[in-house]
Amino acid sequence: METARLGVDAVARDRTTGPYVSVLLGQAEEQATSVQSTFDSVQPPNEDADRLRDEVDGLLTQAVSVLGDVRIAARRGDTDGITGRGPALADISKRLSDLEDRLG
Amino acid sequence: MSEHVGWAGRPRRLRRLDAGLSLLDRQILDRDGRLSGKVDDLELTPPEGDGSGPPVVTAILSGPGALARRLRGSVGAWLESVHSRLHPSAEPGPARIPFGVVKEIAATVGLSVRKDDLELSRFEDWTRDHIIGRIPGARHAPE
Amino acid sequence: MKRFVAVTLGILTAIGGFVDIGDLVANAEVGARFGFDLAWVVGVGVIGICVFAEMAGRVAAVSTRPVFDLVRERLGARAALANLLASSFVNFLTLAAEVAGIALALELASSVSYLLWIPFTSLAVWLVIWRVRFETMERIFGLAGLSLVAFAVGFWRLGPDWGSVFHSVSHPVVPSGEGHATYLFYAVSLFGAAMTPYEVFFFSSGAVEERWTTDDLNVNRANVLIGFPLGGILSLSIMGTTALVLLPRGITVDNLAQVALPTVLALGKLGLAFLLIGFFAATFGAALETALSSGYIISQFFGWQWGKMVRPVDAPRFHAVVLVSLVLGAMLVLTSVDPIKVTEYSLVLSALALPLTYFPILVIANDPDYMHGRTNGRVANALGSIFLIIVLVASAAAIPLMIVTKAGQ
Repeated sequence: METARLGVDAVARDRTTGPYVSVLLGQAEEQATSVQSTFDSVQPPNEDADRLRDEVDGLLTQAVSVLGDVRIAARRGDTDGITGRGPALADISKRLSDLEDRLG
Repeated sequence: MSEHVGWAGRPRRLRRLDAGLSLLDRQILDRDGRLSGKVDDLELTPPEGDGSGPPVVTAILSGPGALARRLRGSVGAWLESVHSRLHPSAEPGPARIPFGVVKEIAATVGLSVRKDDLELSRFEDWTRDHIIGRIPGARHAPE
Repeated sequence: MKRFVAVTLGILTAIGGFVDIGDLVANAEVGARFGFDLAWVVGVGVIGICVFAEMAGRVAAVSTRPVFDLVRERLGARAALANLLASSFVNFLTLAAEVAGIALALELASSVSYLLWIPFTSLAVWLVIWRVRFETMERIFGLAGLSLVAFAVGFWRLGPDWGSVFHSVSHPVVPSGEGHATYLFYAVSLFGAAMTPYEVFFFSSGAVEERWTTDDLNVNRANVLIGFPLGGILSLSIMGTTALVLLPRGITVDNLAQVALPTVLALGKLGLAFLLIGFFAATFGAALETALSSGYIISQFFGWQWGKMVRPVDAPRFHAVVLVSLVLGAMLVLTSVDPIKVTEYSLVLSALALPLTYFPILVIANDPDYMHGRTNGRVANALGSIFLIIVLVASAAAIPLMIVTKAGQ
């Protein structure tokens, strides 16, 4: 997640080239997807865990979706599309880390 | 293998060497100084005459087959099986260098003939003819 | 003047050639997780490789034969064969990692998947080995590798708090949030990255390829004793950039793009360009070295003609081994196994195999029959023995640590 944010930051400051950023974001997206599928494959033991699982899963789905959008924008060279999603990435990232803190 | 053996190369001058230390695993160089394998094993023959006295080294054996035979145990057996599978000819026997062509024994073992004159390695020739030799530029001088 | 240029070139080549995919990955990963708390390992590793590279070069220059060639004579066929098998395996994994590394660098430049680059990169590596002169090859890729100095510049530009950096380097602690076992595991991997086994085989065979004599010994020493430490500083700057940028954000390094990220943020497109050239040169150069090393050690064990110094037809088995190694390495990478994982495994196994590589060098460098009066002095022996112990410890710890930490999770 954070990697993608930095990547978007780099694009915003015109620090980087298209191919590099699209690879960077592509990797971030792949990672998020794989985290999600690992997470989804775990059976929740009880109802509380079930609710938690839904919450995390929802967040992860959003994350993957935004990452996917950013990657596509990067591939197209759509700088505005990339920087435009910066806030969304930041928001999801914060929510994920809040969740992490809550879970201890 | 640390026996004292006679040196059959020069019939008149029998030099006794500690074969284990001086000969085995040494690099062999041919007349032109080209690398020609290592001393993987030695061919020993019983001495002439009444059979008393140490066996005589009649040849150097070189090649993975020879080495495999010397290294007893599972490592040797494995090496032998790999070698016989890769070896192009039907009867993989070790390359035999008769002791007569051994010119000197020092840090390396020097031969008095060129390596092409001895049938030293069919594997090398096969590799040269069938693989490396077929790639363009193989005969290019290095500099 | 000419002498000065030659020496400088040698040193620069050594610096540029020091870093390979293992160093890139290990230093970046460690910086992102441990900050500067493992920097001391790089220091130790650099001293170690200096000690043994000097010995290996001296052995080759004085005896005119490379170290591995002498292992069989000196330590026996059985020990040499065990050494050969282990070293070949580690070498092979490293080769695969480096070939993948070249492709990854090209992917970063083009966004074309690295898998598609593999056939071209392996072919290119083979072509360079087949046709380019040894010295030319070394020079070009060594000097191009200097491009990686962008890491050092990037680090400086990121404005580190030098005081706290020095403190962290000199007072290493296991950071909270990481276990001791993980800390030690990464220490071993980092050590394996700095003291790469293939480097020694390549270095001593290369000395014979370039026909070093005792006159070249001092140049050799300069290259090694100045070049390698400066290369170590490059490694540390990789660690530094990720420590400054990725660590605070909790980003761990899983791919090559992330290795470049801090420097890209600091230096922009120019920095990225330098890095990509550097990545390409470092991995290509290392791929050349590992491919040649696989040919060297197998040929030298069996006594076959080896080397680029003769026509390929005169060393057919050597070239066949190199060719086969490259093909097999490419095939391994094409199975789309994660190249970073392959690199990580190659580092752990390198650490495991280190004693096999370094013990013979120490023995041979002390043998008067080969060294003609240039056997190790007291300093070399003292350092060599200390490092042999360090290397044995690292080797013994490698697999247990890998199992306990599940390869660094």
